[in-house]
Amino acid sequence: MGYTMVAVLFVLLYLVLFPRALPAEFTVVPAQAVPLVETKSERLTPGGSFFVLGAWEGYWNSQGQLERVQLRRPQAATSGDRMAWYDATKAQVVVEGPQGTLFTIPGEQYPVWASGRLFTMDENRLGLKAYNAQGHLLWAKHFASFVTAFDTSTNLTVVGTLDGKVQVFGSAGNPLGGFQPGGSRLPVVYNVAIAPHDGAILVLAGVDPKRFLVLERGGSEFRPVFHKPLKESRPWPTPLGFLTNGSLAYYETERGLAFLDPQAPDHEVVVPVQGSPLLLEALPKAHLVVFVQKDGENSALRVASPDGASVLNLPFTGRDLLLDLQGESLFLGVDQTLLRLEVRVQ
Amino acid sequence: MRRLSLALVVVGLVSSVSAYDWPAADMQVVRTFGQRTAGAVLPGVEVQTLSPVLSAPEKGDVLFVFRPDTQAVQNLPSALGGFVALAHDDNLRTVTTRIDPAVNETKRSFRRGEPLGDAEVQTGASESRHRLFVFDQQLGELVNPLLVFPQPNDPKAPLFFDVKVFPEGQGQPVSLFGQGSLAVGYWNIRIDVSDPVTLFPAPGKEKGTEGQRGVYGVEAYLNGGEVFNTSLDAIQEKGGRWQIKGTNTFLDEVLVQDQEWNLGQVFFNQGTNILEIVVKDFKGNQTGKTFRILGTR
Repeated sequence: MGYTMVAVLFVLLYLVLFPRALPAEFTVVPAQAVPLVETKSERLTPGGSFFVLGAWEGYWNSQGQLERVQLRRPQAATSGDRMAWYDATKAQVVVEGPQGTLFTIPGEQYPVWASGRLFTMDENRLGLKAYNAQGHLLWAKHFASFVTAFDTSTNLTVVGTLDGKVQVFGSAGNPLGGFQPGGSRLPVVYNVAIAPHDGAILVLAGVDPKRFLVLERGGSEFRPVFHKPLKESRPWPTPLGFLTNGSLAYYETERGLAFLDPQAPDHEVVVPVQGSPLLLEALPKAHLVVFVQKDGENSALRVASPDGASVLNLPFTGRDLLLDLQGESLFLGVDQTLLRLEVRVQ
Repeated sequence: MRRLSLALVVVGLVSSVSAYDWPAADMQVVRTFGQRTAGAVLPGVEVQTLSPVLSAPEKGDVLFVFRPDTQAVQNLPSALGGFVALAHDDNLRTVTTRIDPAVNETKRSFRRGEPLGDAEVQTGASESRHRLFVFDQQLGELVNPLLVFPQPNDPKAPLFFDVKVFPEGQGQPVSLFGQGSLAVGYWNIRIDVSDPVTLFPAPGKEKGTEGQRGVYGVEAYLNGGEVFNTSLDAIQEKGGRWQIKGTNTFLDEVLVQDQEWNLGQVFFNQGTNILEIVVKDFKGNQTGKTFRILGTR
């Protein structure tokens, strides 16, 4: 009896002194499936998001209800509650919010959103313009080679080109250095990503071999601190980016989706993927990442841990896909259907 | 004479071997390098074909492939549709656009003439239009594709629509077609020119479409002295702007409007000034105009 009491006390004392967090329970519950049919609404409720899915565009409100669905307008691109498209009849870019048109930008150019900032690309992918939230031109650049990839943070814009150059521009378009990854037989940049706080740039570049690089800011310039040849050599942009405010980086390798800490890039964890991982979203509370894997028409909604554990694998077929996380609603668009899932972490 | 003929034949053979092939045998150039249309400069050529498939202009390694797709990574917008960029042995890169690339995960190179992809044809059209670009990797510039592709059919010489001069500072332009005397001083010359083209008739049609191509080069001489001489061979980037190779002039300072070239400033002296302007297309067809301008005080 005495020994039992001592043992129980020891266990209780251990639990008090070395408490362990209870594992979070993660559930994804289908909440709503809506077929995309044309829905007109003059007034949209602020706080929602525009979306583009295949040949469709629309708007859902903060409760996840569809308020507008219509055929996609030319070059339509969205970022939260902003939508931009190119009106060829007037040769202008139109930027809209939930309350209607916010401003127009004259000239043939096509809108791109990155980190909530509006850019336009010229018709030949040889020119890039940056605008502020009111539609005023901040800067414009022409390049001597195709723009193959670009990304932006709050302040910086990184541009990768067909000739293998990575160029960095400040908020006024001022050049802040660049880098030309070597070590491959043919130089070319396939993808770039800049950390939200400008501390690091990820690059996929080169043919024979294709390489993954991490550049870090040293003073005013970015310098390579890590590079790795890849066995895969697909000649098109493959996934690359930052999640969870820049503390987690990912890219696609020949083995699947690799997660790494950008400050310790030599250690990576690979989650095997059938096909390509697309449309990644972080679920920070659960320390998980949700993404769609696509292999032709065969796709799957995947949830995985950056530690390598696969948590959910929900296969489906579809050509046009959308994945967007808003609060606790996860929107999965597949061709003509929009599915709202509730993500619960307890 | 026989040696010279032989040399010419050899040069001809070498040049025909080294030249790239058009991606389709019936390619017609619709818009030329540097041509400005609706305010936008084309740093390549736009071509038209009836062929359903476009092929590699020269053997090369696959450098970059793009298929427009809403969920694709770096799905950057453009008017180019799908495209394939090839890296060639001579450090040139060619990009063939508006195709459905015939490139899978294992296709790494193309032989000359091997199909690159199906042409993107607009609904209801029999022909398809494509833009072709050539980049010089070593020199870091956009090259006029007509320098590497076979000579286009072009029996017509460029046309002058107007030659205007603008007084220094503010003032109304004066057309030299209707004015023989000008005040002594600095004037800015602008010419309105283009190169007419009649495209081959589409199947079932008797007449081909009439079009306007950009001119390749312009020369101007005032009283025998060269005041302007520019050909559009290549474009380089300087400080985020395009510069015409071989000049220190930015492209947007020369090609100021659609079909309009700014030849810069000249000084008309008192008395007779002879202004000669020659415009030429890539084929070598040229048209000249001579103006006798009386400078008065």
